[in-house]
Amino acid sequence: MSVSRKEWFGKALIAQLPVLRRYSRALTGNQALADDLVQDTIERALRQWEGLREINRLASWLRSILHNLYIDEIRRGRTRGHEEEVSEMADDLALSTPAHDSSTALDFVRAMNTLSLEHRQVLLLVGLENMNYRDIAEELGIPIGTVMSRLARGRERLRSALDGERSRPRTVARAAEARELRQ
Amino acid sequence: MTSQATIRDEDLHAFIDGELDGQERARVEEAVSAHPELGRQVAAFRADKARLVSLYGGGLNEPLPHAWIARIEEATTRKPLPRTAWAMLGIAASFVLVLTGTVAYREFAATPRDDVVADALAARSLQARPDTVVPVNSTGEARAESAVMAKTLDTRVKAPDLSRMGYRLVGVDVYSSPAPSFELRYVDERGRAVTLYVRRSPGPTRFDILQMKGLRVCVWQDNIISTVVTGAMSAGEMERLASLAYSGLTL
Repeated sequence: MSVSRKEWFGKALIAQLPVLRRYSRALTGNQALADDLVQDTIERALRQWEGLREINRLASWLRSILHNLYIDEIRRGRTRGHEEEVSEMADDLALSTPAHDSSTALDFVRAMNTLSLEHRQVLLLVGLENMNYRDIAEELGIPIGTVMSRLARGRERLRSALDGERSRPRTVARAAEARELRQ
Repeated sequence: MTSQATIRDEDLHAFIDGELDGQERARVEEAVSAHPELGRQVAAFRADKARLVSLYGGGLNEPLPHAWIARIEEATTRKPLPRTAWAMLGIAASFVLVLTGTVAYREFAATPRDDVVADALAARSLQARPDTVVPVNSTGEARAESAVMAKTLDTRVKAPDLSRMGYRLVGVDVYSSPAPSFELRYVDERGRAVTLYVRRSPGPTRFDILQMKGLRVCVWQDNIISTVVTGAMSAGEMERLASLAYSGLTL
């Protein structure tokens, strides 16, 4: 069975979707927006697939498309999740990773939300995608020194935000508790 | 800057991420051991990194929306030709076959098209002698082998995790000829073996599923690497396994 280059691209694209969706969720902190972005990325990838020179760079190429689409969404005013969406995302993450309760997950998602897009992006490429600095610099088209400084600033801000979250009154948790009590 | 003026923040994070070479790593390590405050910072950043991975790292087995898959398949799968077009193609093809069959057979016999497949099958059947045979018993060992593979092939590759389809990595064989290459050996709990042969790509992009010597063989080749997955299984199962192997190999 032999398939055309386009079919072969389609199979590679499908194989990449779980990882792309995971990245999109972590980047946006909003499940509905993350899925919309993946769907739009699929459409754009299908239109522009002939521009992909090396299939080995497919993951990087898809992330770049998704990132550009996300910036468009931010310009349109549709940004990171409102408190309700953030809580929903944190609950889902806590359910899929039993090591975290929803309060810890909520603190982390909120803290990530306080970071700039550039900082979140580098933190996720290093942590979640397990990429080395050289490959990140190549993907983002920036010098390695910039990757390093963004990473250092991003991690410091995340740490400060987490410290802040711990001392913050748990209004969302309280609201959830109140909802449960009413039921 | 960190509290210890000689260690830049960037270096501290590069240390956490394993990005420093031997001398630099030793310098940061020494400072971290000498200054408890630095040690605390490193521990806190490492914990945050681990938390990020454990919190966002799941969900890969979550079913994808059917609409996404359907859309991609609809856009990339060849449409079947109408029946009349098939009939005309058949007539044309029979003339072409009669005229060129003998020549094509001779050409094919003289220059085997599937060198990479032949090499992969030779590795699987143990006709080819590996330079090194590395047993793999743990994730750490798999990671170490992945680093060697990436360095040898000069591209970002790693041993894929095929546990979702019930296969675990048990060994890596390293070959220097006919080209620098690796054969990753996997087995499932029933002892069925799957091999993944990887080397630099010799040519154009390609995706084929073949049946040879009682095995299903999937060749997946781009401009950088060629991969050949072999195992006794159905074409559908091979397609799923090859997708998992290919995406895991390059991520």
